[in-house]
Amino acid sequence: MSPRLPLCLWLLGLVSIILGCAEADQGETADSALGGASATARGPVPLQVDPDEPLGDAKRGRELAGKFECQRCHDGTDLQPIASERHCVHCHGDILAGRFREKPEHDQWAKNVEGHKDTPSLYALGSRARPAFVVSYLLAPHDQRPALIPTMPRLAMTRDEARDVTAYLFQDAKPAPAVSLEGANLEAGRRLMEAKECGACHVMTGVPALPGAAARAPGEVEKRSAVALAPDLRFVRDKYRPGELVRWIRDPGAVKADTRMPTIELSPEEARDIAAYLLTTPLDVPPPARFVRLPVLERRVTFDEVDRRILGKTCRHCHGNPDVAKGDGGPGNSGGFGFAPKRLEMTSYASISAGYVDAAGERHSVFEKLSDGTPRIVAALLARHDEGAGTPRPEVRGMPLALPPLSAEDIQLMESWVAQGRPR
Amino acid sequence: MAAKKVARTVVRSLVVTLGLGAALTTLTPRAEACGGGFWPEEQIDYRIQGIAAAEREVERGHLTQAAASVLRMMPYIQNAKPSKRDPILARGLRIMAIATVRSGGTLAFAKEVPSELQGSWTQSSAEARQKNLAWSVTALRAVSASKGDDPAVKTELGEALAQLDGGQAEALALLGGLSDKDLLASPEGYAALAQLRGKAGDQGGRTAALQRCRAMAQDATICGPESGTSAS
Repeated sequence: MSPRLPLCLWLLGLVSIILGCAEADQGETADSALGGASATARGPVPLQVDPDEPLGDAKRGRELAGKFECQRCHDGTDLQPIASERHCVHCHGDILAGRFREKPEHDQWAKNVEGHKDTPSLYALGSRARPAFVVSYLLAPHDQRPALIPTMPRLAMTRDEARDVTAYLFQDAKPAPAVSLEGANLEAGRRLMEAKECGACHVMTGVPALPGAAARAPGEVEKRSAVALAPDLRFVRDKYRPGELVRWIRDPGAVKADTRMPTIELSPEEARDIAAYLLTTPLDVPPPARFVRLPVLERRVTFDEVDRRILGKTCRHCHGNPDVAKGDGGPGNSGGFGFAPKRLEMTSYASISAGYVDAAGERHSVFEKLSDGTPRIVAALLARHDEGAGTPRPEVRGMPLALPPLSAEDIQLMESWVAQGRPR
Repeated sequence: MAAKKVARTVVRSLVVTLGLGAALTTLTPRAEACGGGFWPEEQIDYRIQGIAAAEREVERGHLTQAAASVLRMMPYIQNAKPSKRDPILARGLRIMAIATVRSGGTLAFAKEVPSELQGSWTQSSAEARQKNLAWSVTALRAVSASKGDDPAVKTELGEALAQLDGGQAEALALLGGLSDKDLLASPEGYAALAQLRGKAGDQGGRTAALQRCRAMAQDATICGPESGTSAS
């Protein structure tokens, strides 16, 4: 053996180590880039400021976006990436892909998370939306995506904070050239939307149904990300100005690289006609269905039934047991999304009976009656319906947070259980 | 000379081995090659399911079964202390403690648990019962301290104190305070409160606690008799 061979091998090893590390570092950088577009890489661009909604301080907004954990659900910020098991959708993606193997029951979870694997990214939000829309949406989020189960949570955010966060999200905005819709043809816009099959992914409440939608059985979970993320087009007029909308319709990928919206061949006039239809066609939106509260049940309701139908199915994900989740009992227990730890656990009869901690650190029962006599836990479930109807209650946050409201029957079950003295 | 030759061969072999090892190790471009992935994958902690099942057994009133299950999973539990590094242990302690309390200080699991693990839990003399109850109080105090202000643990501590010689006054204050805020976390807690209030001559308070117990309990017999000054 040549005496130089070992040295060569050693050098080869050393070089491989260095290359391996370098490659790994590149991988991490790539991941980071996926998790957040760097503002500096895109260059500073003057803020788009709506005259009716002044923006706040972008630097403070970045800190607040971290406090409210925007990156916990959304990609597309330059915030510190959050661990996969604490991420709204990355964790679910891991479960669906069979990568989450820390608990023996993880396989059973797959069917529960199928409809919870998508959230819109925040890439280039400032180049698409009106800042005033973002501020108002942060303060009173409402369901914009009919096929997506989760919605934006109603955070404990002040208007000033919403303005700051919006300023942060808009700091790399690239305004589109202004477009006038004068003379645009609404009928042509509608015909184009039908011809281009916009209805395959989108609905537009308030106008005749767009053809092309694949029917889903009631309650069926939408598994196609493009459809799940497609907003109801009735909200386009709240979010977009004409220039940004025309640019978006013509080449969405050029505005937001990770969009699921395909690029469709359209002339500037055609895009303008579609934009005009979306922004100005009269909408006949039916009022939200009035929630009807059902009377309490006379039959005995036990904790087992409440647990099976409500707590275990819906509440436990955010009001979990920190002892079995690396110390994180979820946002409703250990804190998160800007909420202080409430220490409200809903994993057992004893834990839900143990109540929650208020801002002053004092314990309260979740069954204590509010001024109108409604137990707090029931009031929270009812308030979620109010939020869906666009009339959030300032004093009660609707639950389940960021999920559809419970049915009248489920709320009736909870109310009956509480009224009966909470039989175990 | 020969020794020098042997030493050189050994050194050469060592260098070759190390070089080959380094080369093979670094064939992967993944970060683990840089020393980030040589620990074993995170293991599933099956005690989590075992403890959760035991907790359900306690709620169903299957106390002996629950305690035996915990003792088989955690044979060291009698001398254990709650630790933030192992929160499952605190749950095991709670199960053992409350099963002991609700069984009156003695656990009839002689046929389910190896004799060397039974300790004094299977002994039924008055002295042994008090010793076991005292262990439960100590364990629950430790768990309560480790979890901060948790009314569920405090309810169990109140139940335990109610049965311990000399613990009744503290139990009455603890359980009464929780009841006032509707934070008593179990029907057994209300049963203990009713008993304590009855002994203290507070019949109105006893009746109120009994009503709460009966509303909550699956089996109202755990609440004790309707009338009288003590609950069985």
